[in-house]
Amino acid sequence: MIKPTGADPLWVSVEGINGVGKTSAAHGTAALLGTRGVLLDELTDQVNDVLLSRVIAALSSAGDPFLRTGHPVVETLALLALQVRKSERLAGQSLAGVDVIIEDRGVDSVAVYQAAVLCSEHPGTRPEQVARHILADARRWRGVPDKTLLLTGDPEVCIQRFGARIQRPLAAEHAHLISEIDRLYRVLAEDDPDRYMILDVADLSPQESVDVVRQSVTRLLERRPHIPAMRRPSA
Amino acid sequence: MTAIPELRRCTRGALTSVEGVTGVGKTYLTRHAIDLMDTKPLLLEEFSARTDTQPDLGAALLRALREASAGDPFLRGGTPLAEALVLLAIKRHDLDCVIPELAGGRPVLEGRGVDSTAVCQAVLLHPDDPDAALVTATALLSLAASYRSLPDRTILVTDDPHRAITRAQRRDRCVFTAEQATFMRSVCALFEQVAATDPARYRVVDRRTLGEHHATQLIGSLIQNTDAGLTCVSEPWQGPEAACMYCGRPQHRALTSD
Repeated sequence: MIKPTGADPLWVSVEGINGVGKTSAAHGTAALLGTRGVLLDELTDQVNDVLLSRVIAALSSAGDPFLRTGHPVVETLALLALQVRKSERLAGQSLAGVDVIIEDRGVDSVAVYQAAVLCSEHPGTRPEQVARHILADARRWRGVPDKTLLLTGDPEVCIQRFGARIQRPLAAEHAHLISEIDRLYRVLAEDDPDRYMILDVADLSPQESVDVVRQSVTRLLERRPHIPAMRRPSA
Repeated sequence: MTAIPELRRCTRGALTSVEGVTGVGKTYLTRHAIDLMDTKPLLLEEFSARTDTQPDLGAALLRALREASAGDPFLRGGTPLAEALVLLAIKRHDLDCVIPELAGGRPVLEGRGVDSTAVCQAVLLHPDDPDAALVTATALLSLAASYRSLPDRTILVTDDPHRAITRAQRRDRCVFTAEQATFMRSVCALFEQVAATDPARYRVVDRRTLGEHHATQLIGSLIQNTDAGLTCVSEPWQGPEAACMYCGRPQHRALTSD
């Protein structure tokens, strides 16, 4: 299991729906922190890791923006595996001098996205229940971040921005899925208000979003002795 | 007094897995046992027997593990827990592929199932601590069971580890390193420990006490007798009230067979 020591850096994940500005905010914040911060890229951006990139390629083969393959439970286990891999690889590195790890999407993404996908394909199942189920497994085998910054915005604007980034318009079904994911994020945030911090970036420019995230991380670092480490797996 | 609901009898086929350390004779004995059957189960090949040319998601995930482990025979790529989860994802894909067959009432025989993943990865995670390996193996099985129903019956073929290693070396025309042989001995021992934790599901075929003919007969009879009294199964992640994933009937307050 992954067992960090007490002197480990603060682990902060940045979460939110597609197009809300997570990646820019996480990268911008990590750049401003310099050697004090380590950035863990989003799974789809880690092209140099053989296992990770091959698994993402397998999940992307149908070209779906949500990595759907028709085998949603397989996808869930594979994505959990990749989150665990990030931690296993990090556990082997020296983090001397690092104060904070900034993670662009972590286990919460797997929980809410896969819950939404699984339940869209199995109507009648409660997505909240499935998201909590996945998160509980993630907590058991990988641990959860010390703090999760949930960036929120206007879902319609985010959907447009996401469509522009992947250079194709999103179908109504995609928009519905993103709205459901947005709702599930808020459910998990309500479940765990000590870990989650909601940052509304709806009317902010990308640079202003970076500033908000950086300021939040700085404040968290100042309060670090009072933040319980959340990421220890139970066995 | 609280009424204990009974699970409903189902028309599905039985899922049986055959487990054991490499070289123990799983494939050889099982094929002989199937040859003697009139109605043959569908056979799901174990990882080592699969080609890299299949186009499906399971094959792509297996290729990813093979590439990341740079030819290691046990698919070790340095992150054993992540690799355990990828292997469980492949095993779930295997199940997805045979759900229609099982739903149609055909029995399915799985060459290595989730138990192999749990046992092998637990040994990799705790090579020098058999007690911790047993705890992790059962925890990995519990994780697997929350995303994929476990086999109805698991047949563990076991033997003296030295004989299994000798057999595997002869078959594969190779010589295992001392480290690989130690790993196989630990896997062999852990399989037996895990089987003892779940006697309702496991049946052990011990080649130390059974000759080839009797072992084949016993495997055949275990495969054929697994389908007696099968009950409905729901997707574990959906909760106990979900409909049966094979026959589609609701499980809520299911009481008896009909």
